[in-house]
Amino acid sequence: MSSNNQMAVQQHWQRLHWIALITLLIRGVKQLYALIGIIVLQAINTFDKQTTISKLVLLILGIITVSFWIFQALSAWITTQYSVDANGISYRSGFFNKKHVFIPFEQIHVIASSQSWYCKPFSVLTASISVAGDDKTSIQLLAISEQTYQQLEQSYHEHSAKHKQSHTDTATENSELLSSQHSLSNSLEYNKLSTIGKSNTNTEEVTVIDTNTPVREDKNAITGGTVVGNSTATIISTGNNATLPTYPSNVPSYKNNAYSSQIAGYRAKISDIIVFALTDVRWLASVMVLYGFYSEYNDKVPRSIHNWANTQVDAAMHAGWIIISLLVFAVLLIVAIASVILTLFRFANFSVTRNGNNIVISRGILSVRTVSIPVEHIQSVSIRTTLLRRCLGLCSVQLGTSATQGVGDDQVGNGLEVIPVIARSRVFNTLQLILPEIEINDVPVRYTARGLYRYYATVPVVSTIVVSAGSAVAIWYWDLSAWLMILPIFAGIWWLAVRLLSAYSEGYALYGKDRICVHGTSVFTLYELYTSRMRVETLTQSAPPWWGSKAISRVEMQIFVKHDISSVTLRAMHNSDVYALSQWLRESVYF
Amino acid sequence: MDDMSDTNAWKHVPPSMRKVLMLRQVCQSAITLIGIAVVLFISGWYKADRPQWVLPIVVLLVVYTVGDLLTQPLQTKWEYDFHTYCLNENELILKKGWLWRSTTVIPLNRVQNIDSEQGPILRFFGLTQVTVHTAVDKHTIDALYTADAQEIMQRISQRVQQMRAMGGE
Repeated sequence: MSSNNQMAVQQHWQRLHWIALITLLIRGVKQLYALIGIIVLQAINTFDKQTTISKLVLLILGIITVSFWIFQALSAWITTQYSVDANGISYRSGFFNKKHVFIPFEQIHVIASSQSWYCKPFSVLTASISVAGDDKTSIQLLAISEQTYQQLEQSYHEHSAKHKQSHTDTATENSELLSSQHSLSNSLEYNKLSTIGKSNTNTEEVTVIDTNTPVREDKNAITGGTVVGNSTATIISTGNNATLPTYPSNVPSYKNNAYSSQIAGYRAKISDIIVFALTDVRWLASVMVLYGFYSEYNDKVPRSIHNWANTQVDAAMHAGWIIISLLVFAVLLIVAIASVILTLFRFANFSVTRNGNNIVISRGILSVRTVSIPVEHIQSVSIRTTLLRRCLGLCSVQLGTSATQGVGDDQVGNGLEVIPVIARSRVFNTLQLILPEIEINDVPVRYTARGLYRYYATVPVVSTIVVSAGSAVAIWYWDLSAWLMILPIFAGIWWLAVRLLSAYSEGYALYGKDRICVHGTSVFTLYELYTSRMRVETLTQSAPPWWGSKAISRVEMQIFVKHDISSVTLRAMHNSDVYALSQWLRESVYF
Repeated sequence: MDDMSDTNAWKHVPPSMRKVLMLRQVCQSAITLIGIAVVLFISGWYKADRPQWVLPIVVLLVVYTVGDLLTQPLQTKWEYDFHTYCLNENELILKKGWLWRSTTVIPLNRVQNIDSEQGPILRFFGLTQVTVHTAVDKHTIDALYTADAQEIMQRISQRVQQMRAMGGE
């Protein structure tokens, strides 16, 4: 307990300003409004019809709700305390469930404040302190004085500055150790070069684009770089051991590509958009949605139209298979055309450019929507393809970021779509051009689950057998239609197919200084995720005891990505692969 | 599971954690059975024209809950035996689970913050739960003696600060 006492002595706990009670009571009303509303409405609507006992029950319920509301606010205010010391902010709260949070200043992502009208006269505000990626551990100090907030902000900024300085110092020391001979003639040029790659030559030319010069529009994905403008800068490196980012030997060098403040990376052609629309299986699902919508609201359709439609369908059904096939084809064609038109609107003038340290995605016909993503916010890149697109040699690219970017239509699924559809043969060159920092290359992958198919198939097969047997009993017991047996069998086959595809596709590649590429699946979509070691937060190995004797485990890696894939699971692999991955992750702490 | 365990100083959670696990399971089972009884009463179980689907679902739920409760001593033993942690200079490693067992490596330079929590049951036994948060998830040591919890929190936060000060990835 000595350490406990020591901590208590060191920290000066402060309680929130009493105005926080008002905020807590207001929040309590927001939380309990449904319950309060039900009680009040019930009391008003049925007041005359109720017996004395019912009225008493309602009254007791009302008293309990109000007491709970006041107790909740009061206990939250009494038990919430905070302390700011030289290292960070401590926070404790809770009456029954006590919570204690400490956030070091270096971990703070954002400090924000807001002030309600009733807080202004007391010079009190609400401070929100959030850490990157994890909303649950963020602290909200409901009412602290403006002076305390300013001190907090000042301490945070001082620590940030100190932290950045220490990083710069460490980087400089490492740089000196690794390359004492390395020097560059111009720091500005050094910065530009450092985003490109390793310099192996003593003299290297980099073409710099004059940003005032209009960019030549390349309608296709660029594979070799677009040189625009004519100003040239020369960067002289005096040594071969430059401490710039290194790349695996098999990565095609793009150091000769033009790197500038603006590079046109990808522009969607009309044909690309049409291919994207037609290979997007979601449009088939829209047919189901339309049918479901019709089934739900067919009673709202005028009776005459309903009868006419039924007559037409009946007539078609009796006209033979050719007519039915043509009808189905016509429906699919109409939906496909609608999908193409909608997609054309969505991706009209879609382009991705590299502008300095930002990836700029723009699209739109009348009003141009532009999303600018700082490269340092990009945590991962995933190349995805469905089975249909894989057959056609096509794929799409999504970005995983560390913060909310491109909300709305720019986000597809969970990720930020930068390339809706592109030929796989072109994707790596395009990405190397617009995102050289991520080091994306078609690296050889170690497929970890090929040969371990039984570990993927056992659960679906056993579950299907059990559920099918249960369904058979239920069908017999309740005398249901035997056709219902199709459902568990179909679901089981679907599940098995998904698992077998995973087993065929899952794998990883460790390359470069600290890079990882993970292959996996999400239902019938195959993905390749490229990220760095620093983005892999934790690694979990798990297995039931009976896998242990076979030295097989499942691995799950949590990745610091706000959007896109944030957790990668390799369902079965040999423990030697687990060891390789865990050692690779552990290397991050030895520097 | 030995492949990630080439570290030393594995520590068990306190033995009273076994009682906590048992007590939690008893409470959970009791709540589930009361819930089933309430639902049955509301749905008119005592009436002759009760829905046909009620019986098989109730039987399944009761069998599962009672089975879970009866096997809890075994679950507790296995879970306690396996629930260990190891805090070394660079990482925290947690082993958890009774049937599906997991080992998690958390490099300390990924730790965002640490917090402790003490519910009524844990407080009764003088225990505290410690949760280590990374940017995307959290990992919990289910119970430690309160003094040990404070110490481990302090050790982790000091080490994290040292690592931050040294730079690195």
